[in-house]
Amino acid sequence: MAIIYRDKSALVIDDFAEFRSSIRRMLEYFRITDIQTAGTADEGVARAKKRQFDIYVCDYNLGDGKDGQQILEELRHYGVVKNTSVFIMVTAENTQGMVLGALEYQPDCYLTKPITKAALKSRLDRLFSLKEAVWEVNNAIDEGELDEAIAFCNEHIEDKSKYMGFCLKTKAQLLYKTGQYEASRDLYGMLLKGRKLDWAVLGQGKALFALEEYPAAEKLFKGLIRDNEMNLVAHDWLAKCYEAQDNTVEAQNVLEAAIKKSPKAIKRQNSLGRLAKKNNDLETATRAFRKTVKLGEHSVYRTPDNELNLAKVLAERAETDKTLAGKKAGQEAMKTLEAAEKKYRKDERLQMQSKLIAARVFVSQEHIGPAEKKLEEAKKLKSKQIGDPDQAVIVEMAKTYRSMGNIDEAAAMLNEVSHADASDELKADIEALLNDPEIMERQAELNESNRLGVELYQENKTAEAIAAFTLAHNESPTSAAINLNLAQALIKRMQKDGKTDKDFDKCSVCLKHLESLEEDNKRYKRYKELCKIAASLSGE
Amino acid sequence: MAEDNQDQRDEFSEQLDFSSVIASSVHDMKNSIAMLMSSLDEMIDELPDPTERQDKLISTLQYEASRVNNDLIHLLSFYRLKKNNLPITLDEHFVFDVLEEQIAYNKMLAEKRGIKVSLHCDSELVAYFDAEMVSGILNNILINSIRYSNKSIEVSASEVEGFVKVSVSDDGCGFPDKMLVKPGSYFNSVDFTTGSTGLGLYFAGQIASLHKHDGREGYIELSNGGSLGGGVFSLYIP
Repeated sequence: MAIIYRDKSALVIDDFAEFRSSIRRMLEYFRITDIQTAGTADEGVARAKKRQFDIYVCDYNLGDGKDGQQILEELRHYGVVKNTSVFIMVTAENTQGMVLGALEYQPDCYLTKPITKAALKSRLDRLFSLKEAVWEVNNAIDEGELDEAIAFCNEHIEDKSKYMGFCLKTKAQLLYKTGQYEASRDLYGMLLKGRKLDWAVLGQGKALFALEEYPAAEKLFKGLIRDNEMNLVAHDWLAKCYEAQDNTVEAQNVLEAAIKKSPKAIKRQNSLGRLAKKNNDLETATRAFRKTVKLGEHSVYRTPDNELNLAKVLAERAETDKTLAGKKAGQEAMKTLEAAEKKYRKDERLQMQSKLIAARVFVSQEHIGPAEKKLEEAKKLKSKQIGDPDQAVIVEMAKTYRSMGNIDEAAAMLNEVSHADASDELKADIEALLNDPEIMERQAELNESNRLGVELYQENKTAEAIAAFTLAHNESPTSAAINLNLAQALIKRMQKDGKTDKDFDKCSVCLKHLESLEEDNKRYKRYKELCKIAASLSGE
Repeated sequence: MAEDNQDQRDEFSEQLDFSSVIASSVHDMKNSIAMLMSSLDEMIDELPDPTERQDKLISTLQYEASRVNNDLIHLLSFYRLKKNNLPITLDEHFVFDVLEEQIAYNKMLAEKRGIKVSLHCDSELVAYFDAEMVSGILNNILINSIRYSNKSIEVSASEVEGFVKVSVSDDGCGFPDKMLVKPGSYFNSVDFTTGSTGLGLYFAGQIASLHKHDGREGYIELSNGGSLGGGVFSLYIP
């Protein structure tokens, strides 16, 4: 099939003027007249955003700043580069393509320098033959009609067309994207029967992960890394598997290994920061979040969350570490917040959180006055907000109240947060707050079922009280107050109606939760008494 | 196994200074060569009627530049092999496309030397291999063949007993006897008087053997004769 180039347009991005003009002359030789060139990543992105091109030729190494992969990410992110057009990534070495080959955003091909006219022509011919043959598939994807795209893939597959291979691969990806994980897993499985192909193993692993079959997915990702330690995407997914199985330490190790090989990926740095924080490795978390701020500067991932994450972990260090290092962390937190407030002047969400974090740093420096002032400012901003308050802001506010010793407000704030739709980062923060013993107690007191149980107990409606306390216990199984209440009600029933195994076991569970109660706790005496009665009951 | 790798890497990191300087210089040189080669291509386009003498000089330039480029690729590959960092990425490819592209890549070089390169391959023949790596092997072999053949080169591919066999045959005087040893031992035949040919074959053998399927391993084979009577290089991919 002869490809007509006369009507095609092209954008060439390369920092070397000679390469740009060399590629331009080759394209002109193919009769292309509509050609633009860009010497920097930013210029390239700007030109690409203005209009569509049929051909993109982009150098991977663009000197300082963004590389070709980041350009591709940004353009695909904004849907600027259509799937129906051709994107060629030019690399200096023939192994680079392999390293990059596993990334989420893929060019249509990698070409290694030196590029000759004949080789470029042969590659373009091939790519356009494919693009024209499967135009409906790509067009449907561009339009967001993924089911339609799958149907077009099926047509090619049924016809056993030359591009069946491409369509099978695309279909497996689309099944995953549309949430048909079982079908995706099975299709990859079928493809893998013939050959062990890295992309199919990766795809199957992702589908298995989505199906929560973590050990099976883990095995696949480990295998990929064993075959090629530069497969960074497999590292990312392996870390996700570990985290899903609550092994956050191993997850952090895997990400650190990947980052050693490629420190520029901002999403990976962000995940590392989050995991390190979970593992209470605040130093690593600080380093990772610092990187996200720096890397985010000129990327599509430029978001105030980068600065907030960094400031939060620094504030936490300032709060927990009373040495010089902690003091320095506090100073860096303030500097980060100051810069962020300037950078995102109109972002209220950032402004509120920034003030709340600053308040905590002030508390750590024992500057209570300024801390209260910051909190007031944040509250004022919050009161002006229309609509549902942002979850992240509420969590920050709870944390700040907690650090200022205002347990009541902290607990009240937490009651406003819904755990279910919180992001991973927020969930960790919420859990930390919920596990705070003082907040836990205050929350129990605020717990409706618990309060009802106390009333019923006082009215001597023991069975109903037990039911209410059991409800409360299900909500906060580690709360000392609720465990005591439930144990006490159960004991009362056994004293009255005689011991039952069921009541006794339940009572033992409650008392076991209280084993770690300190002697100076106001509930200690009551706990000891209940233990004594329980022991005497068991003796009967 | 993992520990072995670690040891090797640690040992390697002690020499990192030297090898990373080499690697980064090679990288830089590759850029220059790339520039040189594409400028040369353009210059040829703009030369309307070169004399025979000019043609000869141009072809020398092209050939030597390609060789330097291949040498640099070998250096980088060697660096990676040492680091256990030469992974291959298998995928399904149309063999015809890859062969056609490598022929296109060396079209000018062949034309200048008056050599006709023909391709015999079913356009729907597929194989599973690392396209970048295999392209590198073929490019190296083609450049050599162009250097040593008289008039014609034949590139062919077909299925042979569960392997896809890719052959490059020429009508030159064939490989010297001492090179016709069994596959895998080409490194021993590296002879600095013959330049990079032996090293290129060594890498070809290494890369071929990284292609594995169903207990079978890829390999290369050198012979003399073939349809054109000269040297025949064959790559077998399982």
